[in-house]
Amino acid sequence: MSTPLPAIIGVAICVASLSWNRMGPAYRRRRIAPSTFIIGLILILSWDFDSEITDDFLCSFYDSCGTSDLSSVLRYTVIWLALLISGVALALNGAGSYGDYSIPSLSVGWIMILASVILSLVFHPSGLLTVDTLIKSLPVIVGIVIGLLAIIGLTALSENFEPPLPPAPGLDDDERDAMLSILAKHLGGGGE
Amino acid sequence: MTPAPLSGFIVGYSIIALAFSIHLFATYRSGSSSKILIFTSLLNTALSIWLSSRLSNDIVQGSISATFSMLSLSSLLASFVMLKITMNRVPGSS
Repeated sequence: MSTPLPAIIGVAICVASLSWNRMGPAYRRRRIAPSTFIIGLILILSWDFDSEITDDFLCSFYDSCGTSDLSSVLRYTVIWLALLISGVALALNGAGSYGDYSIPSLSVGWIMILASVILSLVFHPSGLLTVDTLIKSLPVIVGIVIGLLAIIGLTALSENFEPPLPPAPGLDDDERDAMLSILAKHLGGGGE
Repeated sequence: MTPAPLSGFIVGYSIIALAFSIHLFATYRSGSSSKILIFTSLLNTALSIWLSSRLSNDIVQGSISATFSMLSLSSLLASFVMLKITMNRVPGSS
C-alpha cells in the first residue's frame, strides 16, 4: 500500500476507539474499543513509509506537490512513542502502581523509556531540535489550542440553545449484567 | 498565497476540529446527543478542512513534520514524571 489513505482511515478509527474507551464499561462500544484500536494501528502501519509522499493521495488532495521528510518523521514518531508507552506501562506496573513492586519490570520499563528519550531527541531524522523547528510548530500548537477553545464555545452555545436533555435511558439487561460483574469484581461481592 | 504561520494555524485547527467531529459521531446516543453541537461541529470541521485543502502541500507537510518533531520533547517530560513516580514508590521511601 503506497497511498496514505488507509493510514488516514486508521487514524480516524483510532480516534473513534479512544472515544469509545472513554464511554464507560457499560456500553457495548467500550468493549470493542481495544480491538478496534488495534485494527486502526494495523491500518496506519500498513502504509509504506518509504514511498514518496509526492506521488500519493496527499499530493492530489492538497493540489500541489513537494518533497518532505514527513514520512520518515512519522516512522520515528511511531517507534519512539511505542517504546515510551510500553516502557511507561512496564515501569508503572513494576513501581507498584497497578500491582506488586517488581524490580525486573521496573528495570525493563526504564530501559525502554531511556531508549525512547534517546531515540526521539538524539537520533531524530531531522537532526537535533532547533529554534527553527519550534517556530514552525508554534502556529500548529496555537491552532490546536484555539480549536479546543472553539469546541468549548460550541459546547456552551449548544447548551444555551437546547432545552435540558431528559434523563439518560436506563441500562438494558446486558449493560446491567456488565456493571454488576465489574462491581462484584472490585468489591469482592457475588454480584447479587 | 497564505503566510506560513497562518497555514500552520489552520492545520492545527483542522486536526482538532476533525478529531472532535469523529468523537461526537463515535459517542452518539439517540436522544442524548446534542443535535446543535453535532451540526455546528460538522460546519466548523467542513470549513477548516476546506481552508486547509487550499494550502500549499509543502507548508502543510512542513508544519505537521515540525509538530511531530516537537512532540519528541514529551518523551523527556514523561521520563521526569516517571522518575518522580518511581522514587515515590521505592519500598521504605515513605
